[in-house]
Amino acid sequence: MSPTDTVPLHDIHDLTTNYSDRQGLRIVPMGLALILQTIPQVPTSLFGIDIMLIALAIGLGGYFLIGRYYRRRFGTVEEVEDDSAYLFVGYLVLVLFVFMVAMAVDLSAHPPVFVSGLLVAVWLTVTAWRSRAVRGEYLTIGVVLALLSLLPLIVMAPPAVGRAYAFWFGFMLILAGVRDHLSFVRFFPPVEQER
Amino acid sequence: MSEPPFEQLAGLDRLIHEPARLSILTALSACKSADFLFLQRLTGLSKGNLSAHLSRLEEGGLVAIAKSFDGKIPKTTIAMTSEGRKQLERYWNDLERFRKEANKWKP
Repeated sequence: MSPTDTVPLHDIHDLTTNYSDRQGLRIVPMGLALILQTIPQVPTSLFGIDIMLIALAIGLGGYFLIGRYYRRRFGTVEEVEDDSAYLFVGYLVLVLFVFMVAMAVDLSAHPPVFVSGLLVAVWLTVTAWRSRAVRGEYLTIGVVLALLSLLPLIVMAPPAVGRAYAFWFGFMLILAGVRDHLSFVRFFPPVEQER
Repeated sequence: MSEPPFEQLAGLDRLIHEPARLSILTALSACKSADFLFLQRLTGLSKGNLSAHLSRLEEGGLVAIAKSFDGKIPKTTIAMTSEGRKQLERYWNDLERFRKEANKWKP
């Protein structure tokens, strides 16, 4: 029996189609960056730069650096994109714009729910629901975040909800990332030795 | 009257039917291209075995192999040709047809 006999073809197709999305460790720095912002001892700015921007840079930098580890260890796949590059960039700009508006609403109008948090939760839930790439755990994360966003209605003051939200979002991203990484690594059979 | 099953199976594309090559083609059909390391990790084959399978697929016109350098590191990139995609599609259609005919068999 060759090693390939043990890997179902459907799984091979699925892993290759969603190769970069299955590389779970890539989102762990983003999770850590989110948690970093919730630690009271961490200053709100560093060298005049807002800590939120620094955390974002850590998250994005980590995403690309860890991508290099996966390329060296497991190889490279040039994936087939669903949409054209222009559509994708347009979509990202739209999401960012709507998020900025939601943040402005949170900061200026002090609504009874955490609007920007709810927006992220809804976006994550919808994406997880329809995407071929995102796994079920992201649906759970989206639902938990949506519930956290509604907390100002019942118990907590909005700033405390913001911190709790960032902490749990970061924590769940780390868990999901490690879980994805473990299933990614387990997928590959041991390599045959040269005779 | 339809062909006896044995003769039908003999008509299956053997270049594709071999498990390691079918795994390679399945992966390549799901992406634009992949490098040698990825296919080696995916199949678990040794470098020599994988090279032999890829050579056969290239000779059959199912894949295209490009060699380049990433800095000083040599890199081999493999992509499925349009002919390869057609042949894989035909292979699955053949198997599907055989399965449907097998469902009609009586014990």
